[in-house]
Amino acid sequence: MTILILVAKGCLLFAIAVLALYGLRHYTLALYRLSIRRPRDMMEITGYFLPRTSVLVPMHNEEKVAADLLQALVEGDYDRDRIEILAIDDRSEDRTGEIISDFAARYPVIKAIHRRDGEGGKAAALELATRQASGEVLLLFDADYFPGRAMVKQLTAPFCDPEVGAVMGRVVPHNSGSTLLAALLGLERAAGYQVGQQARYNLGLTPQFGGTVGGVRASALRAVGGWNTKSLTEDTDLTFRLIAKGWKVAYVNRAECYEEVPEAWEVRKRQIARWATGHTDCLHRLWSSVSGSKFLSRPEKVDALFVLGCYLTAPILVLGWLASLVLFFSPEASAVPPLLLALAFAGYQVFGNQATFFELGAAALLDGDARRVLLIPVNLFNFFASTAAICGALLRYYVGRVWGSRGPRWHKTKRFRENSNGEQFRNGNGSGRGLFSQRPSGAYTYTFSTESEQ
Amino acid sequence: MIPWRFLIFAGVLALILYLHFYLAHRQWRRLKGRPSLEIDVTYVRMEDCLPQSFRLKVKEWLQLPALTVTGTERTILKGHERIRATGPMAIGDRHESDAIWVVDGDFSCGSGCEFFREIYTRGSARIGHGSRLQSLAADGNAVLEDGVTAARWLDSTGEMILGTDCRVGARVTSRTAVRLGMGCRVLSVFAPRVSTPGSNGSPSSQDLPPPDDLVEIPPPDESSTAEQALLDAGVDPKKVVRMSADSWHYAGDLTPSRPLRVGAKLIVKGRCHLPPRSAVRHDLKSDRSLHIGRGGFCEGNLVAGGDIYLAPDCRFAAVVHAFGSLLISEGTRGAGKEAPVVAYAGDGIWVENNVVVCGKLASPGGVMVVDAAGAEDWRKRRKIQTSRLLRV
Amino acid sequence: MTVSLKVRMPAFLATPHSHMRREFIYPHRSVRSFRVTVAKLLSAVFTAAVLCGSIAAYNAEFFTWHDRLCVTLLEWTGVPVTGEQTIELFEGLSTAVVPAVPVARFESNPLRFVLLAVAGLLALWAIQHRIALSRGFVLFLAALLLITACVVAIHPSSQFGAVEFGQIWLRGEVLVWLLLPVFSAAMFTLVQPIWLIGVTLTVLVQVFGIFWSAVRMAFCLAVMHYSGILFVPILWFALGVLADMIYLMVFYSMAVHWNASRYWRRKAL
Repeated sequence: MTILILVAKGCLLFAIAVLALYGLRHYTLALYRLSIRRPRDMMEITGYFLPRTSVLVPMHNEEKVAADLLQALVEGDYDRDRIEILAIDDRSEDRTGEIISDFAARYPVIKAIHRRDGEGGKAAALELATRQASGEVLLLFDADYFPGRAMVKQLTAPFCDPEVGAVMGRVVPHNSGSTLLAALLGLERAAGYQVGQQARYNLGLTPQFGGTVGGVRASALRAVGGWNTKSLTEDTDLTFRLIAKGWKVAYVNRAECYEEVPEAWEVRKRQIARWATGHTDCLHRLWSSVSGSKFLSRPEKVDALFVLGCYLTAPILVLGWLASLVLFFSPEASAVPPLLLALAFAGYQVFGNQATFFELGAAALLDGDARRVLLIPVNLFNFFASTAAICGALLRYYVGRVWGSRGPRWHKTKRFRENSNGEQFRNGNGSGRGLFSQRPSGAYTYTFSTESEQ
Repeated sequence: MIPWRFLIFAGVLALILYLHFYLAHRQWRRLKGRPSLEIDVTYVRMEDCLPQSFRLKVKEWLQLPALTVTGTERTILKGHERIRATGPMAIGDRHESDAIWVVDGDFSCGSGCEFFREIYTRGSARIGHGSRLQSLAADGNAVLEDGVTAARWLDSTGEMILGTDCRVGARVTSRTAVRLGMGCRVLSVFAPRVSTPGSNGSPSSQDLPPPDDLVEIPPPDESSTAEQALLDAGVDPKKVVRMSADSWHYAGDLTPSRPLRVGAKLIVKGRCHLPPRSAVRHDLKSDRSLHIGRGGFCEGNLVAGGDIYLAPDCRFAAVVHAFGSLLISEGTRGAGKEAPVVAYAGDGIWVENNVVVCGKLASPGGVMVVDAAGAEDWRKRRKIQTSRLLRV
Repeated sequence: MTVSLKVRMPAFLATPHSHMRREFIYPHRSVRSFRVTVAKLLSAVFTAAVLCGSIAAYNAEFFTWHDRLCVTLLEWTGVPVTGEQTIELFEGLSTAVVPAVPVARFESNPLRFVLLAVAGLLALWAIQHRIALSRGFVLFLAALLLITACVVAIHPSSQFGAVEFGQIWLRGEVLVWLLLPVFSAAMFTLVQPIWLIGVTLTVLVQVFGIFWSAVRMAFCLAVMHYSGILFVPILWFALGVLADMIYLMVFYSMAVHWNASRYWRRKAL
C-alpha cells in the first residue's frame, strides 16, 4: 500500500508538472495573441511575388468533393502561366478518376495523375506528384477544402523570404452548423489557428505546417529528403525535418480556407487517433534532431518539443486523475499538506485544464464570433471524448511498438458533403443561408458597409 | 420511505447544473443549420478596392429618386446618408459638409474645409490647404494642397499630387502616378509611379550597371581562388553552407569590405551590410538588419528580420520586406521588369527626396517622406555608420 | 470606463475626426488585437489582490457561512445533522467547521449496496448510449464507480465518514477560492474590452463559487447518508473542482459573448 501511495504521489507530481507547463504555455500564447500590436502578416505583398507554383491535390475516393475543389482552383486569380494543378487520383474506386480526367480535358492547367498501385496513403501520392511537379513552390489541398480565388497568391507570398520552407494558411470549417461536434471542432480550429499559430509565428516560434491549405518550397522538400511515406502525419514530420535543417515555417492568418470537419464522433475518433499516433511517432523519431539542431534557438526547440509531445498530455492527464483517486482513498488524505503544494495541485486541476478553453474564448473575441462562444462549456465533453480516443490510440501505438507491429494504417476521413459539382459553394446554398457572397463574376469588391482591408 | 425532500434537492441541483449548460444549449438550437464563420471566397486583392466599391455604390444611389432638385443639384436620401449630386463645383474656404458629394465634373474647395463623408468627382479635384476629408475618388487628376488630412483613402484615375505635410489614414492609389510632398504621411501608396520631391519622375534616370569583377557569394565553384576572393573580401567561406539546390546559408554577420554579387538565394543568420555597388541577383534574407550600400543593384527579394537601409542610388526590382523599419534613400529607384514592386515594413517606411517606386509602399507604421535631416535622424537612431555604405 | 478596442488608426492621424463618418479601415479578423493597458493590468492585479486577501484574512467567516448554508440545506433535505466538527485544512489558514451526518456502510446492508452500484452503472451506460459525445467522460465515471464498489467490498475499512469527506472537500474548495481571483482577473478584467464588466464578473464568480460549493457539498453529504461512499468518488470527480471549472467557463463564455458582440457593433459605426 505504501509503495502504491508513493507511486501515486510521483505520478501526480509528474502530471502536475507537465500539465502546468502546457497550461502556462496556453495562457501565454492566448494573452500574447490578444495583445499583439501588429500581427505578422503578408497581405501587403500578396500578388507581388508570383513564383512558378504546382498545386498538388491527392484524392482517394473523393467523388463527393473533387469537383468543388478543382473548380475553385481553376477559378483562382493566379497567373495561368505560372501555375499547374496536379490532381492525383490515388487508387480511387469511385468516380474520382473520371471527374479528374474530365477537368483535365477541360482545363489545360490541370494535369491528371492516375495512381493505380504502390504504397497507400497521402504521402505516397504526394511523393509521386512531387516528382512530376515543375513548380518552385508546391501548394497542397485536401479534397474537402474549398480555397477562395486569392488563396494561391496569399500562400505563395511568404516564399519571397528565402528562409521560408513551408507556409500554412488558416482552416475554417464550413459545416460547423451541422452537428454539435462540428460546432465544437469549429471553436477548436479557431483557437488553434487564430491564437496558437499566429502567436507562435509572431513569437518567432514554429507554426505547424498542416499538409493542406499550405505549401512547401520544392528545393527545401528535396533537401530534407522528400515526403515520409511511412508517417501517418507526413505534414508534422515534414515541419520538424524542415526546421531542424534551418528552414522556417510561415503562417498566413488571412489565407482562410473552408474545410469539412467530422460531423460524427466515430469519424472524429479515427481522425484524432491518426493524428495522435502520427504525431507521437514523429516525437520519437525527430526529438533528437530537433533538440540538437544548430539552426534552432532554445525557445524554438522547447516549443517544438511541446508541439510534438502534445498528444501525450492526454494519458498524462488520466494518470494524474487516477493517482489523485488513489490518494483520495488513502489514509494520508486526512494529513495536513503544505498550502503551496496544494495550490499547485488545485491550479493544475482547475486551471491547467481550463487553459485550452481560454484560447477558445480568445479566438472568438478576435474573430468577433459572439454566437458560437457560448458553446465553450459543452466543449468539456469533447475534451473528455478526445482524451479517451487519444489514450486508446497511444495505447495501441505503444503496444505495437513493443510487439513490433506496423502500427495503425492510414484511414481516409469520411466526407459528409454531397456531390455538388461546384454549385453549392458558388451559390451559397450548400452549407446554409448566406455562407458565401453572391456577387456577379468579375465584380470582386467588398461591400461598402463591411469594408475590412489590410 | 421515499426521501422526497432529498429527491427534490437532487432535482434542484440537477437543474442548476443544467443551467450551467443552458445558454450553450439554447445557442446550439439557434445555430443548428446556420453557416459558420464567413469567408469571402470571391475575394481577390485589389489595391483600389474601396474606391472602386464606392464608385459602384454611387452608381446605385444615383438611380434612387431625388428628395429635392435645385437647378443642377439633386439631393438623394439613402438611409441616414444624404447624397448631393451636382455639376462642376467650386466651394469657398471653411466650408463644412456632412453629405456625400457626387460631382459631375471638376471639384475644388478652398482652405480649411471639412467633408465628413466621401467625395466622388467625375473630373479633377483640388482640395484647399488645411482641409479635412473622409475620402476622395476622382476620375481625373487630384491635387491636395499642403496640410490636407484624409481620414481614409484617396484615389484618382489621373495623377494624384499631395502637397507638403498631408496625412492619409489609409491608402492612396492612382492609375497614373502619385507624387508625395515633403512631410507627407500615408498608410500605403500604390501607383504605376510613386515619386517624392526632387525626382523627375523617371524610374531609371541614373542606372549604372554593377561592375563585373564582384566577389561572388556563394562561391561559384569549390576552387581555392573563389574561396580566397571571399577571404580577401572579409567573408569566411567556411560559414557559407548549402541548404538546398538553390539556397545557401551564412552563419554569422556578413559585413564584407568589398562589394559582393549574391548569386543564389542567401540567408544570413546575423547582420548583412553590403558595401556600395554590390549586386543581389537572387533573394537575400538577413535575420537582423540589412543594409545595401550606395548604388546597390537588387534583382531578388530583400527580406530582413530587423531594419532595411537602402543607401542612395540603389535599385530594387522585387519585394523589399522589413519586419522592422525601412529607409529608402534619395536617388533610389524601384521598378520590376514585368510586374510592380512592393516595399513593406512593419514599423514604418521613411522615404527621402528623389525616390521613384513603380508599385507600392506600405507599412502599418506609415510611409513618411523625409528630408536629409529626417533620414540622418533615422540612421542615428539605429547607429548606422554610413562611411562604409556610401563610399564608392 | 475605459474602452480600449484596438483600432488600427495610424498614430500619425492623432488629430480628432469626431465627425468623420468612418475614421479608420476596419481591420480584418486576421490582424486584430486587443490592447492590454496599464490601467487594466493594475485593475486586474488590484481586484485579484483584494479578493485573495479577503479570502485569506476572513477565511474563518467564509467557512462559517459555507457551513451554515450546508447545514441548512441538509436539514431541509431531511438528513440528520448529528453535530459539527472542527477540522484543520492547511497550515496558515484557520480551522473550519463541517457538519457530521450518519453515513450508510457496506457492512450494514450489502445487498442494497450492490443494487445501488448496478443501478448507477446502468444509468451511466444509458447516458453514454444516448449521448455519444459524453461517452469518454461517462465511461470514466462508470469505471470509477466499479473500482469504488470493488475497493469497498474488498476493503470495507477504506470507507470514511462525513467529517473526513468535508475535510477533503473544503481543502479543494478553499484552494479554488484562493486561486479563482487571479485567473478570473486575467480572463475577465485584463482582456475584456469593458473594464467594469470585467471587475463585476470577477467578483460575481467568487461569490457564486462559495455559494455553489456549499450546495454541492450538502448534496454529496446527503448522498453519503443514503448510499455510503459508493458514489462519493464520482461525485467528487464530477462535482468537485471540475464543477468549479465549468462555472468559470460559463462566466467566461458569457463575457466573451458580450464583448465579441460589442466588438462587432463597432463595425457598424
